[in-house]
Amino acid sequence: MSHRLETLWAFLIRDYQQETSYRLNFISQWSAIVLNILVWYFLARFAGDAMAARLEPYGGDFFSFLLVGVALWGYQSTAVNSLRGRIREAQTIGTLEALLVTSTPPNQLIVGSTLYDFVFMSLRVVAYLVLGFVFFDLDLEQANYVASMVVLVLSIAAFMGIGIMAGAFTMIFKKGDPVTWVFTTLAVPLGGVFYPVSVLPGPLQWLANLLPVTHSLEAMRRTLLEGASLAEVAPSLKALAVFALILFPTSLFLFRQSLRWAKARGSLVHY
Amino acid sequence: MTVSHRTAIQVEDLHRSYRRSRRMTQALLHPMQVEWVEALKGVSFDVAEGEVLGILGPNGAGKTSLIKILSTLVLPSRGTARVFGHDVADDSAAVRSRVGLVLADERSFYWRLTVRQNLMFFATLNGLERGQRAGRIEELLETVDAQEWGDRAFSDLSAGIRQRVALARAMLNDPALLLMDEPTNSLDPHAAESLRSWIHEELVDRRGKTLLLVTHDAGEAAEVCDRIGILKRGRMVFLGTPSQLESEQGRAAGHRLRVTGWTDGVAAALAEAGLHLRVCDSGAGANTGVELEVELDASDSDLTEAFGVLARKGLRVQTCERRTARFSELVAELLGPEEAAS
Repeated sequence: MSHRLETLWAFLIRDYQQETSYRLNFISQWSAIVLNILVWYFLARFAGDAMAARLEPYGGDFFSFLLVGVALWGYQSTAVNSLRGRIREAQTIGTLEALLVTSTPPNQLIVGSTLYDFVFMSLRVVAYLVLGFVFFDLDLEQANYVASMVVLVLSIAAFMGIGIMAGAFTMIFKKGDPVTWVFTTLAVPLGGVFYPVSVLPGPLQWLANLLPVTHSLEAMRRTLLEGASLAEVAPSLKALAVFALILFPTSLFLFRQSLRWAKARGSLVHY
Repeated sequence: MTVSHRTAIQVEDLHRSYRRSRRMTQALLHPMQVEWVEALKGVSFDVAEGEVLGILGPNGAGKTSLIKILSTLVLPSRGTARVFGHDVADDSAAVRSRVGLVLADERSFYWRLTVRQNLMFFATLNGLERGQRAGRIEELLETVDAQEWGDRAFSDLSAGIRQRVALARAMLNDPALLLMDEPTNSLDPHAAESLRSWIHEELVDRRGKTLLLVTHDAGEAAEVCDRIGILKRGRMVFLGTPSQLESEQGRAAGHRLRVTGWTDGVAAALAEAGLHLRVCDSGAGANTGVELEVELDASDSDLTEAFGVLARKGLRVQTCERRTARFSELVAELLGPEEAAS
């Protein structure tokens, strides 16, 4: 294993050891998955077939639509909040300087710090899908898993760009970064997490296209629930690729600048 | 600029200023106004490889700013700082690979993890090969005498053991330079003494490390360090050995005498010879002829002349010993009463 991978593994182990040391919290996190899935199932049953026509492009089943929407929204939340939260945690518990004085470069510290949250989120998504498939009639027979993975990777790259920018703001302003506010506040009403974007008025649909999560949800639902090929979701993939290509390098540059700014101000450990 | 390979640290005209935080109303009323606090005002010094330099000073003198600049955690506002020839601002990765930092803040560990789990994490981040990590950790735990605490959560440790673990962490990558920010800060006197001895015997004598020790304890600095730099309000007001400080303060040339047969005019006669005498015993009258303790500001070479004056005035010298002021007193004199108190 290369040293870079070993460093990432060390972060993963550290966070696992920390999380499992809070036993009750660890148990409650997993039990929440079961409770959440029950809520969506009964919500879908309550809605019945009323929305079937609107959901036709995504297989027509509201429960499946909701499950994929919430799972992917979880990825965005993780990407946007993880680094910001880890930096804030390190500032307040006092480990930030100890990390920054090691010989590990900042880029690896970024990835390493967020890795556990992504792994945990992935396990949650797998749990949602397995529970949904086994107990709640989630229909994945037509799923194009390869295309879904491509969508997921591109989505995470785009989301991470937002997350690293949020981290850069936290490094400087400590609390109240606007990046998190914009993307977490707008994702739910505009991004199509709980309902298709097509139900929105025209101007809001146009605004929704400026959010990566909109394209991510569109492509993921179509590949996972309808078995769409990569060519069929090409417009969404292109949009995600553009977001990733712009946001990821820009955010890395901003993060390095924010780190240098905090060192120049002497405010690394302020919180 | 050419830097000697024997120079571990080279600091030139180092300045560090911080923006003073303001109340919201002040910031709104005067948005363009910025107030600065100068923590370091043109500090310069060198540290040779294998040397132990103590940086001494009261709170707010700029000690922590200096150590954070040298460990690349804070950038200089002006001036340069090099560690083994590498600029801390432009070549921070090279600096970090050669430096071990012992922070005063014991919160810099993961309290819910065990000592070994903490050290394993930081060993990986410091680039140790997988096959070396466990062995290196055991070696260091043995070195700092904390092996029995290895499987205990960091939160369960006493302040003294935490500080030893912090030292072990700083030495994981076997750095040539150790930067220590008040390592005995939270320790009781016995634990502090034990740690000082260990630093001297293990790090300095046995391993030949270069050390920069930041402290506000003059006794600690005198005990552990080869040279001492004294910071006062961001300026280096002294840099040298403790005996050099005594010389500069004019206190090395002192002797304490017990004399009998005191008569008037002794002090005046000595003054004519360019020597100053103070009577230490406050209770005894100077004319009673009883044994009296006096301090004479005279070097060894001046003693013969001083003794001659005393003999001519009829005084008999019972004992004479060289006066050695406590180092902490000299530092306090240099800093002034307000600074020394803080």
